Amino acid sequence: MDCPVVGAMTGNLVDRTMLEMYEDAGCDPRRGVTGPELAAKLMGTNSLRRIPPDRSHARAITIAADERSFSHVPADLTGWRLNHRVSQAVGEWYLTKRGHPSAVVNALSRSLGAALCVPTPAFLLAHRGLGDDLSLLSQRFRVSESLMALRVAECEGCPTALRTTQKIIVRGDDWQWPQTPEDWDDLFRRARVIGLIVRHLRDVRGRLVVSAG
Amino acid sequence: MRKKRQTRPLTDEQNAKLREVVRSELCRLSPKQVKLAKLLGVPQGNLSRFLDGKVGGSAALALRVAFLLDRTVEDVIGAQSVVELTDPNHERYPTRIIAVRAAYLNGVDMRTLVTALAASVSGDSDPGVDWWLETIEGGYLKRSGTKKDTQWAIDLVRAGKFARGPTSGKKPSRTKRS
Repeated sequence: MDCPVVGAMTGNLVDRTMLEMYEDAGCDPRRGVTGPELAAKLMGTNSLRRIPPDRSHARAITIAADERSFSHVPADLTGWRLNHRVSQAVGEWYLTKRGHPSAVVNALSRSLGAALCVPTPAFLLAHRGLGDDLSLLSQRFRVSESLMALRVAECEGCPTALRTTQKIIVRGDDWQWPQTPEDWDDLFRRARVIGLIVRHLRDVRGRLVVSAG
Repeated sequence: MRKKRQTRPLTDEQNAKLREVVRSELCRLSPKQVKLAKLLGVPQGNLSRFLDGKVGGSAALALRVAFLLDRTVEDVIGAQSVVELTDPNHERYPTRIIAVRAAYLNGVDMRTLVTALAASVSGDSDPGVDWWLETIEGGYLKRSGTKKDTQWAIDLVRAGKFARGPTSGKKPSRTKRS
């Protein structure tokens, strides 16, 4: 498999910004809210517009100009996809509004979007009640199992790798991850043998998560 | 029926300068208007009305005059630069500035162009010049959000189900020059 490996881009700035956004929105990060709810609180109650999917090519576009801030979202998105898109859009809008350079905005918007969907305090509370069940946790936060797996790794620190058809995303504490596509293939093949936890995700076909804790 | 795309006209000052260049340099080299019109690729009647100051020229005419005289467009229309259009996020959206400049030449108002340059799009890749041009010229950037759609998104994510029902409104009209 010849695909890029994407490392963790989360950190203090993401967590700090997430908490700041929840505070500005008057929301409790121990409960967590959805992306559209945050958009309504931060950008305004008329901040979203659904557009025909044939025009959007599944893209969400966010406009912030002349005191107007709004986001166009494709009308055919499922619940969790819509949550992801809007959360990322709101995160990106907020980072830009705060004057962060575009390179920082581009690098952090995905991680921030994920953290907005699943704030660390809310995750810790939910984890106590629901355990490690990705399906239950993802339903609780209205996110995909993939995003949930990565957020579990970020919040708990357990080294985790998610393989999609296009890339491998690693999260959690530093670990001796393979360096070549061949070694990655080998790792996913022998994951159980070498003591890693392997989970097949059900939200998107062919996705596989291995974690070391 | 799809409206014919209109090219951005030159300003009065730019037309005056272009007219002066055509009169003083090209009319001297090709005194007969019918011949000059052929050189400039325009009907003789249009050239005549342009030289009489009854109508303005186009960017295409300015480009042609500049090319014939081996000068820059800015030089023949008397401007330092037609317009300052730069993309602060060029690395992420390399095709956007091309679409914005094309939209400018097609007559889209500057406010819409500035809005387009401040927009951000989900996904890892640049959606491409066609997508940007359609978005800019389609007038979509002028359509802000609505309470109804915001509530729709909130309800949909809460329910965790698939989208249902029609999308907001009809296709917007094409962007008009302000």
